[in-house]
Amino acid sequence: MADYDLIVWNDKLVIGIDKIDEQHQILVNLFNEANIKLTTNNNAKFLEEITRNLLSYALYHFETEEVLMRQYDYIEESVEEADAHIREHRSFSAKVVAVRNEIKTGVLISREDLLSFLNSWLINHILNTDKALAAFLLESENSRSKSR
Amino acid sequence: MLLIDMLPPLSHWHTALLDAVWLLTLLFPAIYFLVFRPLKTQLIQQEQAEITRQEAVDRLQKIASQAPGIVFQFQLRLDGSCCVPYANEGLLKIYRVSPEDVREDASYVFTVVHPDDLDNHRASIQTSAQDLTPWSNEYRLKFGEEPECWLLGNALPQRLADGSTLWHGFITDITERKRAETELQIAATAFESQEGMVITDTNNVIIKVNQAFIRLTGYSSEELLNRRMNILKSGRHDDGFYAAMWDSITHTGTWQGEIWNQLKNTEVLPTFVTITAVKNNKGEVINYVATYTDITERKIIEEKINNLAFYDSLTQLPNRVLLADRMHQTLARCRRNQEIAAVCMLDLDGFKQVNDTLGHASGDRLLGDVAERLKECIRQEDTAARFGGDEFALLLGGFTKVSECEQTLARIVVAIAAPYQIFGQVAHISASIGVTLFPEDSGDPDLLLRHADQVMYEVKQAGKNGYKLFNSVHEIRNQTTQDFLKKIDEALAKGQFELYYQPKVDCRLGKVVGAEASVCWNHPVLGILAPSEFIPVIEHDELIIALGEWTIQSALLQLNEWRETGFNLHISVNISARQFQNQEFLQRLQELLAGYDPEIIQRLEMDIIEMDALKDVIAGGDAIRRCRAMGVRITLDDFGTGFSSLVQSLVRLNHLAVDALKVDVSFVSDMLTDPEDMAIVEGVVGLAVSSRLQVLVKGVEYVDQILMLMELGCDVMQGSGLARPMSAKRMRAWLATFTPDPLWGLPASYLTSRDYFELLLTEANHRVWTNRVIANLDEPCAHATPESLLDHRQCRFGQWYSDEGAGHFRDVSEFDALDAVHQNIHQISAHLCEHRQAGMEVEADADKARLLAEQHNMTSLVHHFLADELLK
Repeated sequence: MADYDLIVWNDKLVIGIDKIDEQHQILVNLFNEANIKLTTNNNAKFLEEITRNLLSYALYHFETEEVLMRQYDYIEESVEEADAHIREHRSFSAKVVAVRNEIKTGVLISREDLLSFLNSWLINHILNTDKALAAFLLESENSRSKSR
Repeated sequence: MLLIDMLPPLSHWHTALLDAVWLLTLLFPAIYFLVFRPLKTQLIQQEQAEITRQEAVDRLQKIASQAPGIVFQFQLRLDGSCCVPYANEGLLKIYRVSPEDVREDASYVFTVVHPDDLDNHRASIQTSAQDLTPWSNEYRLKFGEEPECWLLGNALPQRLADGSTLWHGFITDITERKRAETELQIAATAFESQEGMVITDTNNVIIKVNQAFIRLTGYSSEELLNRRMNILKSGRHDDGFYAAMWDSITHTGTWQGEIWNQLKNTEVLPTFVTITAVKNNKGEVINYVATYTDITERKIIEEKINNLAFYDSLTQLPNRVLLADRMHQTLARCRRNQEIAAVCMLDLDGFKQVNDTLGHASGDRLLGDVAERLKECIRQEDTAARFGGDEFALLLGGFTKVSECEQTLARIVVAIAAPYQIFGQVAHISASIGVTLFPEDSGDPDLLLRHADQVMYEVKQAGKNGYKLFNSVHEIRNQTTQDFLKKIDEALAKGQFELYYQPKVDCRLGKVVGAEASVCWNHPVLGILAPSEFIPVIEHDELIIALGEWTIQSALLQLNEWRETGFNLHISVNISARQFQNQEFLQRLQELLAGYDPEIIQRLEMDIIEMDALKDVIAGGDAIRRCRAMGVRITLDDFGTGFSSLVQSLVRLNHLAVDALKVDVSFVSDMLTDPEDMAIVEGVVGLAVSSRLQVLVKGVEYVDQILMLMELGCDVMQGSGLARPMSAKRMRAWLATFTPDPLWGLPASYLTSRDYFELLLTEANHRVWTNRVIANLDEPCAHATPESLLDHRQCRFGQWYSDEGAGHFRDVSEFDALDAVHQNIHQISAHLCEHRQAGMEVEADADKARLLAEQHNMTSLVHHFLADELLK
């Protein structure tokens, strides 16, 4: 069952905002856990558990990021990026909720599909979307401390 | 000359002439016979002797010149001087002096004798001279730095009249022979060296062994000779090993390597073997020579060095170096097997005290015991290492869950803390363990050790005797969950939750009968969150109970408000089975209901969700009865999936005595694609109705679903096809403007025209067809072809249209328009398929959008068509 490699936490994934990095680590860890535990005949109970965890950490994480976006005026200053970023958050939740609803009606998402979704979403989200946000946050933090 | 002497003087020439002639004539025969003849004979004899002598000399000279060495005469005079009266040309070649130069004085010949041999050389000559015994001597000449030249001299001495001694003899150059002798000697010595040597013929039959080989193998030379080499075969090497060995010998003439040989006493011995093929002048192999070195010693030493380099000498545990190596292996294995590995640093608490009070020997013994206990706690493939002092490291792999790892760690903590018996004394220590996990922490071994070390100190500071996970994601996860729950708790206190209502409509009556209340989180940052987004997080927490109570409270308030504004609606709230089974729930419900009119209370319904969790049917049934006794209606929601579980649930329902049953529309939507399912659904609904259960259907999206459900006798439904969930404020506006869809009246006219229903069904079927085409083409290996999609008469709608439908609706003008739209859908589908197969994603996406739009077009066309027909 090694179609997806475990994501080993490494410096490339670190965006430089401790709080966010910590939460990304949780999400990466959830992916790895799914990767380790899911079999091709995954059971509804575990899928239910893993998607529940995904929901809770994603929501928590999105809140952290979106609070920072507001605090640092990312939403005003980088309208398009912020919009796309928040849309990405919402679509993640929507997808996980959809997966959960399907599980309830007996349609179990395949291991392949879940891992593929998580892998691409996580990697893209961390390496692109969040790095852009982090760059903005660190930059404005920099200029703030200079102007002081 | 003699004749002239006998002639008379010249003055007497004339008279004497006659006398002379006469005399000559007279005397000639006498003279001839008396003088000339013997003279001549003597002369001839002399001449012949001379010739013979000369011939002998020549012959000797020739022979001497051909002799491979020096043929000589050597004369030693009484005064000690010497000369070489004769020597052949060999002298020049060997002594590098011409025979003439030493004919009178031969002192030179001693100057070139090797200084080491000179005394012996002179002595041998003296001895031969004194005793007149044949001279024989091996000696060396030495010319400067040139290699020495070995000579062998032999000569016979004779004493001359003057007392000097003359030798006749020869000297030969034996340098080559000497060298060969030396080599032989070396070879012989070498053959009897410490290394075992064996010579075999080309058939691998032993023809010679040395003593060392005999000692090495334990066999006697008799036992070995004429035996094949496989007498020593240990069986430790496979055929491939020997094949490679012979391959090397054949191609390079030699092979070296380690071979395990079996000795006479069946012991197996590691030997380092060099095998060399011996070839003759023609390059043919004639022998094999093998040397065997017993490397047992070396192996032991290697092992020792190995141990010194990789193992701690006190505890025999791997040291830091070996651990680093094992870490690479373990991390690679865990990565491959998708497992979790733990890297731990372990420091003993109280070890110094033991060392100080009981002594170093006890301390060492204690460390050994700790090492043993560690090894007992871990698996064979895990590693316990000692870094020195009382510092250990652990490398544990193969976990699939963090909890498994934690169990092992807990076991180690307990094991180390158990008392020790050291030389009759009892010692107590404990372990502080810092742990970090792969892959959630880095993949760099050094960094992992540092992290483990860091957190180990935290354990020390926090009171020792325990373990802690480094910056553990696991821990952060727990923390995050707690934080999240806290936020929900706060949200509850701050009033961030709000009930949203989704109307339930009795379509047959065209009347709103109630609403399902769902709790939404008006999140200050993330906006409105649907219950499906956050309920899962709290459903196993006590918070779900608090939120449930809040929901009931809010619903009751809303019921009150609606009654005051004239809407007599029911509200259903979702209650988890977990909450329902909570001992205090009924008590709490009672308290919540207190103060409300029975009229309000009877409008409260409770949808029990997660029916599967309602394990105890009897107790559940009891709770339901008590709720109903309080006036609250109970609905079962979301139980199981599929028809079979629905049937099972219905059987259980008899025990549960609920008022209503809520099913998802997906239970019945299948019959849109397969009418045979309809019979089953009809049966199930019939069973529910006969049990006097109301059946509610949720998730209704399309009017045809509504119509079909009505036909089945399920009149009350909710879903986005009727209205989406909305806030109480919007609900009021919605209620004020609600008008039933005229299509709902269709089933009333059902008997007059079955064809309307067929039209609805086939249209719904086509919607499914379209969705399937899109989904199917999204798959990388779609079976559809543009040709198959283009044929609009193959689908069910197409069949119906050209067959039954045409019969009934032939005269209706819109019916033709429907055909055009339908054909267009098939055309777009074919385009979509083509574009997908060509990898033209942008065009395909455009096709998809057009396809959906056109299908929507078809749906509304059918609905309008039906509405028009009905309103006629």
